[in-house]
Amino acid sequence: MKELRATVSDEEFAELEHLAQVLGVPLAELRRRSVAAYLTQVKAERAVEPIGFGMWADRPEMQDAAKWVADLRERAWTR
Amino acid sequence: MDTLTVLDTAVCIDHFRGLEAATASIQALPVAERATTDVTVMALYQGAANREQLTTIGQFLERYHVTRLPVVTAASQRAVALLHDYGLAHGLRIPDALMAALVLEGDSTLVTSNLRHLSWQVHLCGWRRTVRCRYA
Repeated sequence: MKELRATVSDEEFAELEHLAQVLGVPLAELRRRSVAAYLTQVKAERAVEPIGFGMWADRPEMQDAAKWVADLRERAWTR
Repeated sequence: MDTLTVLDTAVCIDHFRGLEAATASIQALPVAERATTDVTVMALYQGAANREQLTTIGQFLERYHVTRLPVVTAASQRAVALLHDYGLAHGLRIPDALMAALVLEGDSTLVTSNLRHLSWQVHLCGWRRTVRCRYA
């Protein structure tokens, strides 16, 4: 087991304290559950094929995304 | 409510282009913070080549839990003010004004790979929380 420290906002700390009281568990347990839930979510996201990933890989005009956006706006919004 | 991190159009395009770093930068954001503007959604729809791609864009936003920020009244009013102040003198365009207004109204952070294009807006519009994507 390793120790993990976390910095949270005053509002988040107050919410966690309240939740710890309601649930009857120490703050450290809430931190452990938070990390476990986050890891589960990230693993689930990374396990599936990213939706749409690479669908515009063969679009030469989009190789410079910033330029494509600028060109689109130039065409659409020029008086 | 969490402060939102707003993905700009170029970041989403880079994901659809197959740039792994762009995808990773989106996945790295906490779900509750992920957002984009309806201005970006409309631009992405304009980039779709067929109905299948339109559907994929919608699924991407839904499955990644990206909150869509509509152009609400306050943002519209702020965009008008930004255009009044910076449109004629600095060439600020309507989409950029709307995006800036949405970010400013929500006190959000904008994630972009296009900081060069936005740098003057960061300065002029007080868009100081803009961050550069790590992969840019």
